[in-house]
Amino acid sequence: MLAIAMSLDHAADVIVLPDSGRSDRTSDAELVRRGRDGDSWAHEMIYRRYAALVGTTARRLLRDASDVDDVVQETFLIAFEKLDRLAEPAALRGWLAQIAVSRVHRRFRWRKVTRLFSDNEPGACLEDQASSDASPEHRAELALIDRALHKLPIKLRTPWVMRHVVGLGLDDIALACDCSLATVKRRIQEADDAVAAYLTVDGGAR
Amino acid sequence: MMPVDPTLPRPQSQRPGGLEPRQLDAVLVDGFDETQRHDAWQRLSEQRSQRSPMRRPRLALGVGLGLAVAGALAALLLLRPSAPPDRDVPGPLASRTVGLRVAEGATLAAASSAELIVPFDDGSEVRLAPGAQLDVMANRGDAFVTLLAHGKAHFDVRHGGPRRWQIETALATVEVVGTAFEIDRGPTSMTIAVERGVVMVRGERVPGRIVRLTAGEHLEIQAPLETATMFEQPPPRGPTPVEPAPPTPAVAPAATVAIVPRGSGSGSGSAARVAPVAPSVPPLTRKAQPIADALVAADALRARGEFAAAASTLTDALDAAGDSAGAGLAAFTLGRLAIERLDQPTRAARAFERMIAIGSPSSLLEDAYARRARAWRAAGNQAEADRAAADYARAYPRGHRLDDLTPSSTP
Repeated sequence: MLAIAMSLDHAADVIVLPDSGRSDRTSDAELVRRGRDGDSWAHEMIYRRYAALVGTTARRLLRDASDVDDVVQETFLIAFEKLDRLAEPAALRGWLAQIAVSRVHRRFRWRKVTRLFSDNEPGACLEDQASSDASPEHRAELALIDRALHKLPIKLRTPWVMRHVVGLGLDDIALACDCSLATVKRRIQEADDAVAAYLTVDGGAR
Repeated sequence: MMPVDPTLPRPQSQRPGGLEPRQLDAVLVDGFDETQRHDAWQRLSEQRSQRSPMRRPRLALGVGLGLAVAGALAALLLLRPSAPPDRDVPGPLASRTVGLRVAEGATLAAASSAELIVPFDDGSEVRLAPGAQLDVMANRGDAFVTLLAHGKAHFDVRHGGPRRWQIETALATVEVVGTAFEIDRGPTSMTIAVERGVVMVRGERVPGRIVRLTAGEHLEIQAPLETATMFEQPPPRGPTPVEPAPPTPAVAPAATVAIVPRGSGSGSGSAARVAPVAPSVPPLTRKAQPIADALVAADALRARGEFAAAASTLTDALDAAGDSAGAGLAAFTLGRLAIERLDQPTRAARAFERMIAIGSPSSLLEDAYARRARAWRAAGNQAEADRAAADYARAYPRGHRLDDLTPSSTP
């Protein structure tokens, strides 16, 4: 029976329809299944669920904020086009992160080509993203971390940022970086060591 | 080197007083905020609707070169000027009723005693119940956006048509491609009943902010109960003493939402049949009203030709509402009133600016960007007009109003 009628309390303006299967509780696998059938609602739900993840990943990795929208747009366009190719629908999160990372790396490669004669190394600029209430010490710290990250190769920088700044799980990072879990752990550790060494030296010299 | 599990807590900070990696997110701004999400979805939807899946530089380069060569060859072979080929892009929707205008800015209003039937040239049809009013916000080849100000309207949208139909109300947005459904927009509630096909309903008061309704289902959304106290009746004239109104409950549910199949539930056989909306609204006292009610009240005032009062009602409500649901629509309506009826372009520009800042309804955002630029231009503030036009170009690089707003076209 479909009939549902309930009142909302003050705390929430929305209710979950128990029979609808359309709420935010719908599993990723179910959204993928519906999305494959061309269900536009499922596409929108996928976007709403993961736009923040994709956008934040891109923002933290890219120096140029104007590229973030493009990465998000491209990521979801690709995802919606290729939903059929997602072997494990439950891994939607990591798969989207993988597409986003590949789009970010694509930009890095392009910048390398276009900036052959430039000293500017592309990469995350965390200091620019400091919140307004961040203390001067924290800003300085972010600037140091920025410089440390810029010295890292992308293959180390990306998992480090995804782990420590975006906060993704190791499984998702492994999928996003298209490598094994052990490799991701090793790369993050390498990056940790390099960042720590840089901070210690540079921080002490400050 | 032995791999170390980065999930394990680090033994100690690398630098005294330094940020641990896990603390980084706490001192950074939101990586991708709600406005960005909203805008990106808008662009994504536009791009998908245009069937140009993504930018593929290499593929695009190859295709572009191929097309350029083919075009050059064709031009050489034909050796005669000709009209550009018809790209089969549909134009705006037109009414088949002679003299009935459905261009952007038009208002379709049914008389208080008769239904208004509007057949369109694509086979779609809108039926407005007596007293209902539908404003045409956007009419393009790819979208037909309307605002159901009040009353009941039945939409029969041709299946497979090229346009996305979007109906805005203060409580929700309804989006369809091919379907038949009915919306009943009352002063404090609305009902959407689907006869055929599928509609998407979005809004702050919609479960999960979005619901997909299929044939036979309907959705009822009620504004907060406290809005019932909004329309304060003036004391009746004459000697009859006035019974005090029953006290408003101190705590009232914020809203009620229900989704039920048609024909079930209490009342008449069809749950979509809601009592018709009174064509007139009682006079209002001047106080800030909830947005949904302010829109209805302003519409009633506008219908009576009291444009200044309507604008004031919206302004008061907006001042009190912040960026709550429906505020965007109220700001947009205020902007239109100010520029079209009150000749107050600066006020209009600021209203559109407010709507843009709120970011909803999404279907009117592009229009708001364009109208803001025009309003600043009308106000004689060329610097702001240029800035607004640049904002439009940034937000809608392929926007169809781009040509109207470029500095070269400004007088």
